[in-house]
Formats: sequence, C-alpha cells, structure tokens
Amino acid sequence: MEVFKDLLFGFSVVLQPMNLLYCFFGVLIGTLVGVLPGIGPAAALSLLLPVTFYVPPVSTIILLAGIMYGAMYGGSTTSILLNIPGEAASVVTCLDGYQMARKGRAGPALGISAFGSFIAGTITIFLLIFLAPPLANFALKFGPPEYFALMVLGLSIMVYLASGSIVNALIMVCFGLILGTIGLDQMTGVPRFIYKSTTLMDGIGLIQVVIGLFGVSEVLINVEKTFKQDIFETKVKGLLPNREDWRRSIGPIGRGSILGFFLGIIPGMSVVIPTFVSYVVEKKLSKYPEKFGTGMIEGVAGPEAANNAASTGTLVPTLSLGIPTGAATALLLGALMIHGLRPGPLLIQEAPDVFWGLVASLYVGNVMLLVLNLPLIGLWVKILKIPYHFLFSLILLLCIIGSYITNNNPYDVIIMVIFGLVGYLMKKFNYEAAPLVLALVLGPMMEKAFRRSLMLSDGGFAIFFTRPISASFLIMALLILLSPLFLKRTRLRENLRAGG
Amino acid sequence: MKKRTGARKSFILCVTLVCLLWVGSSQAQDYPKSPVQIVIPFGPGGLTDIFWRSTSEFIASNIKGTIVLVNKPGGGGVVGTSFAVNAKPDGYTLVSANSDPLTISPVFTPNVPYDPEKDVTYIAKLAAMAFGIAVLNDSPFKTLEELVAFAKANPKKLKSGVMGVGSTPHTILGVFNRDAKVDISYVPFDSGGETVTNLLGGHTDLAVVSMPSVKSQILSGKTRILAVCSPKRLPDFPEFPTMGEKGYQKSSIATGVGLAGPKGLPPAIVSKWEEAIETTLKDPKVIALIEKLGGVVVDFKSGEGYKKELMADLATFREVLPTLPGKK
Repeated sequence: MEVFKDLLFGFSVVLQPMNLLYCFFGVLIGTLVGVLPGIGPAAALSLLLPVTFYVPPVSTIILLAGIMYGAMYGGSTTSILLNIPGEAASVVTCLDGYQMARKGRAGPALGISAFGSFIAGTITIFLLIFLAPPLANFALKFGPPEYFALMVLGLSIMVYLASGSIVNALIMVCFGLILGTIGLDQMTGVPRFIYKSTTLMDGIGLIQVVIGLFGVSEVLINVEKTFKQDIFETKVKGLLPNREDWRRSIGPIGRGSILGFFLGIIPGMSVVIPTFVSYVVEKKLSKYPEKFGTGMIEGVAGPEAANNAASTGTLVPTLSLGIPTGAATALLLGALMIHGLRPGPLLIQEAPDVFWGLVASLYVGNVMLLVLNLPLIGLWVKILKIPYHFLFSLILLLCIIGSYITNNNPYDVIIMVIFGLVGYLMKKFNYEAAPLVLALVLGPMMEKAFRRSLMLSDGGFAIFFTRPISASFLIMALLILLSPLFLKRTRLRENLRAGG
Repeated sequence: MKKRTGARKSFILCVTLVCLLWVGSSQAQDYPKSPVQIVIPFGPGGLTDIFWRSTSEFIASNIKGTIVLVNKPGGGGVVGTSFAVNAKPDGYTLVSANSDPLTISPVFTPNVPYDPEKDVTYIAKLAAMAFGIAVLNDSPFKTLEELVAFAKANPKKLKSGVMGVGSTPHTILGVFNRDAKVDISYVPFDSGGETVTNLLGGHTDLAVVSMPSVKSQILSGKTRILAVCSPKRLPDFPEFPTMGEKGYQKSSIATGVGLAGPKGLPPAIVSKWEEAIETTLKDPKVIALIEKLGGVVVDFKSGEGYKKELMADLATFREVLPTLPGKK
C-alpha cells in the first residue's frame, strides 16, 4: 500500500542519526517543560525558534513537535506527585493521580500515564495518516454556533456527573463562569470587574487559579495535620502497573485516545477540554463512579491518553490546512514558513520528507518518551520520601515560580495565593475544584461563541437550531439534563443524590 | 536575632552593589554590559514574537551584546508596554513598540497607564505588517468594487471576521465602512488563525486579516485578497491591489513593529541601537528571512520618524475610533 511505503520513507528520514538526536532533544525538553508548572510548550517552542534557522526543515519540525507531545508526558508527573498540574492539560490527572500517590501507588499512576500516553500516541498516528484531510475539512464546519452548543453539552455532562452534591457542583460552575467574565470584554473592549488593574485586563489566569486551587490548598490542608506524615512513607507498592491495573486501564486509554484525537482536531478546543470529557466518560462507564476522586486508575489513564492524543489531533488542521489551533502550532507553522515551506494541503506533495518524517517521528518520539519516563518513575517516587517540612517548602516554591513564569507578572503570584486560600476553604466545606476549573475554561469561550453566533445571525436565536451539528448537541444536552425526571432511580443516580 | 540582622546587612550591601553596577553600566561607551531585556507585549506564537525571535540575534551581534526576549502578554499589548515604559531608563529594559498598544489602545481602552507621546522614547521602526481583505476563492466578489456594490445594496448583510476589538483590523473595517459608505458587520475573533478558520468554514463572508496569517491559504488557492492595506504592493503578492489604489487611502493602515524604551533614555544609547538596527536591516540575509514571513516588509525609520508616524495615526484614530460600532 502506498501509505505504508510513504510511512517507511518517513522512518528512513527520522532514523538518520541527526534527526534521531533532534527528536531526542525535543522530547527531553518537552518532558522538562511538562514537569515545570507554568512553562507551557508554546513558550519553549518560542525560545527554540532561532535555533532552528540553522538546521534543516525536517529536523526543525521533528524537534518542535517533540516538545509539544513531550510536554503531555511530563505534565502528569507533578500532578500525581504534588497535586500541582504541570500543564493545564493535567488538571484532571490531579483528581485521582494524587490520591493514588497518597495511597502509596504513585508508581503505577506514573506508569499508566506513561503507557497510556504511548498507546494514545501510537493509535493517533494511524488516525492522523488515514483521516487527516477529510477530518480537517469537517472541523471547519465548527463555527461559533457549533462551539456554543458543544460547550453547553460539556457543562451539562459535568454537572450531571459531579461526584459530590449536585448543588455544590452547580455553585462551583457558576463561580467559575463569573470568574470567567473578569477582564476586557472581547467583543466591545469594555472593562469588566478589573478595578483599573492592568493585570486583570486579560482576565484571571487559568494557570494561576489551577496552581492555587490544587497545589497551595493541598499544602495548607496538610500543614494542619503534619502528624500524618507516615502516609507518604507507606511502602510504595510496586513501581509499575500490575495486571489488575492494566485490565482496568486499557478501556479508558482506548476511549481517551479516540476522544482526545477528535476533540483535538477542532481548532480552538485546546488540549484541556478533552481531558475533562475523558474523565467524565470514564466515571459514567465505571461500575464504581462514587469511588472516582479517591485514587481510581481509570481516572488517570483516560485523561492522560486524551491529552496526548489531542496534541496529535491539533496537528491535523495545522498540517493539512495550514491553520494553527493554538499558540504552539502557530509557532510550528511559523518555523515551517521561515524555512520557505507552505504548510497546507500542498505540504505532502511539496515536502514529503517533512510530512512523513514528522509522522514517523511521532512514533519514534513516543518510544523514546516511554524509555525515558519509565526509569524516572523510581526517582520521582523517591521525592515523596522527602520530609514534609522540606517537601512543602519545595511545593510552595514551585507554585510561586509556576504562577509567575507564565506572564512574567508578579501580580499573578498574588492571584495564585488568593486562590490557594479559596481552594483551602473549598476543601474544608466539600466543594470540588474541577467544575470551577472547567467553567473557567469554558465560560469565556462559551460567551464569545454565543455572542459571535448572534452577530452572525443579526440577533436571531434560530441559528442554534437550524444548523444540524449545533442542534443535535443542544438536544443531547437537554436530554441529559431532563433524564433524571424520566429515568427510574438507577444506582448511579442514587449515588449522585446520596452525595458520594 | 543577631544572625538575622547580619543577613539583612549583607543583603542591603548586595543590593547596593548591584545598583552601583547598574549605574556604572548605563554609560554609553561600554553599553551594553549585561544582557538587554526586550519585552514582547504579546504571547509566544504571535507574529510580533516570531518576528523578534527571527531577527534579535542579528541585532545583538551588531550591538555587540546579548538580547533576552521576554513575553509579557495581556491587555492587547498594554501590560507589557506599560511595564517597559515604567522601567528604569538605563537601556536594559526595552520594548517592542507595536502600533496597537501605542496608537489604538490609548483611544479605545480606558485607563491605559502611559501617554504614548510623553512617556515613551522611540528608538526605531523595524518593519510594517500588512493586512488584507480576504474572501474565499469561490466567493462571488472578484473585486473590491463588487464587494462595495453588494454591501451598499444590502446593509449589515455581510459579516466580516476581524481579529480582536480595538485592533488594527477592526479599525481598518471601521474606516472602510465610513469611507465607502457601507455597513459591513464585524465578528471579532481572538487571533488571526481563528479569523481565517472561520472564513474557510464559510461562517463569515470576508475577513480582515494580517497577510502572514492568511499566506498559506492564498498559496493553496483557497482564499483571495481583494485589497491589501499597505502603502505599496507587496513584493511577494504583486497581483493584489492596495487600498490606496482603490481610493480608500485612510483605511490603508499597517501595523508597525519598532523598538522603544522608557522616557529619559540617554540619547547615546538610542543612537547606538538605531545604528545597529539600520545595519541589521540592510543585511540581505535578514531581509530574506523577514520576507519569508509573508506580508511583513522591512521599513526602517529613525526613532523620531517612527514617533511622528505613530502620533499622526493616533490623531486619526482619536477622530475615527469613537464612531466605530461596538464603541459607543
């Protein structure tokens, strides 16, 4: 088959020693970027851009793409060990990953996220090869009304499946949506709730909120009960996932890969949303949804596969249409253009070595990441043996660096600290942080999509129902919200009502 | 307790020493003694970011120093710009002087914490970035005249994607609406990429976008440019007419990328940078690199010249912007 010949050609490109080296540097830098909270892949790509002028275009894109998906591997590490998400895409991993670590199962959690990422990477490469051009064109059908409908659906599912009380989850969603309105209004430039502060002009930073809500609040909670220091020192039960772990994870990894890839293709979806969707889906399918949040391996495996798959998915519109899906892919396109290449439908014909070399490098890079990450697990787990008084100072330091470094703005640190306190109170009173984070991500996007839709339709609401994709999403959302009225008391719903 | 006082003393000593070093180094003959921080008031991945990362190394070698690029995004460039113009005028904190935060934000956004005329020392203009009016290749509008004719007959019917509110593309559309006596509605998007995506998906009828963000779509034959907002035709797309040729001189607004610093920057340091930038921009290697970005043209101007240009724009925007839709 033609495709396999092309793919083989791609491997012959990537297996040249120089390209292998660039691939290795890419994934290594990516892993580091992922581990350090606050530095996103976009910032790392930007720093390395000048370096790429001196290397051939194939090596450039292999290096830069390596950083992108390498970061998805690294991001889970701090989430699991310290409850600080290394990237926004690893927020969900905190929920169960950190609980696994508290139970002495940090090794399997890290292991399954590495294996999950690897499997997702492998599956999505084939999806990329066979489905890229038709899918990219389908993704273009997502205009503002479709985005809005998709987000309504997402929020409905999130509330329906919240693990604690539904009322508390709704309160958190509303809180998140309100926080999302802070900043300069994107449609008219009117300042909202910024009190003349230039820092707040762009709204409250997601990274700062997440680091505060998860990292800082965890430290505060633990400072209260230092006498329980032995938790982390309980014998670490095995460094790798056992057979039972695998049995439970393989489904979530498969579903996470597919979900992540398809959501990643839609421009503007980012890699954050697929992780939430994957988590919610696993919870819905699980026989023990009430145990999610207490260290279920499914809750780590699914989202970790999803974020890796989504980072491959974002390459589809980038390579086949020449459209950036975010800052990181925009830099990738910039690098290609500086080398005189034209990203877009013609790339495969004009520079087959670049296209197929990149595709093959995705696979090679994933193998490298697995080899790189598995031996590190032993080392990472040792971090948990650091005495509390050192470990907590270290965590706080990481939180401060992480929140400062995203915009190099000291006021961001203050915002992070405030949300640390908010997160502490939320934990005390049993409010979950995840619905808040999702609402903060979706809120501004939803508002913009809604208002853009109405601008397109000159104020007519019919636009949401006359377009087939958007109409079907909205109907699904409605059914989900109304289903408790019609369905019999299923066990799932009882669990939800019982608050746990 | 005693130990702590000792620590404090040595800390103060250190700070004093560092400050002394700083003062010493601001003398121009041996400037720059330490790395110079150039603030990019936008996030990584944007065109300004890519532009600086492509050229800064060449400029650094001409000024015989090290340049560190720092992204400080936020508020349409206001956050980073205000940080840099409030820094110490020692020549170690400079800023990429983009026209958006210097000419549009002061009019459009309330509480911009600097005065672009009094608080900024302009060093040089490096390049100009052109915008274009793009339609899909299968669009019924083949020329700008056809677009205007349809828009006149059908007010508010046409939707144009623009990047951001109070941005250059938004201003271009507003001025064009006024001068062509049409009413094309605008739909603001977050980035050039998103604007192009929505044009390709057929969600908007036209888009006002920066040429680099639409370049690969033009080359692959998916979109067409009805007119470019540039003083002259672009070297890599000579087939597209300019707005000026079509009689809409005032909406031919291009974004400038320059270098600036806080007020009170020593003139010796300013002229040192001016010279280094002028030399860099004459290097054919650099010119080729910049032109590959597509739609970015080298446009060197001295600090004084750039300031004059920006202040003239500012005056125009003060008159035009308050009349734009979305800004009542």
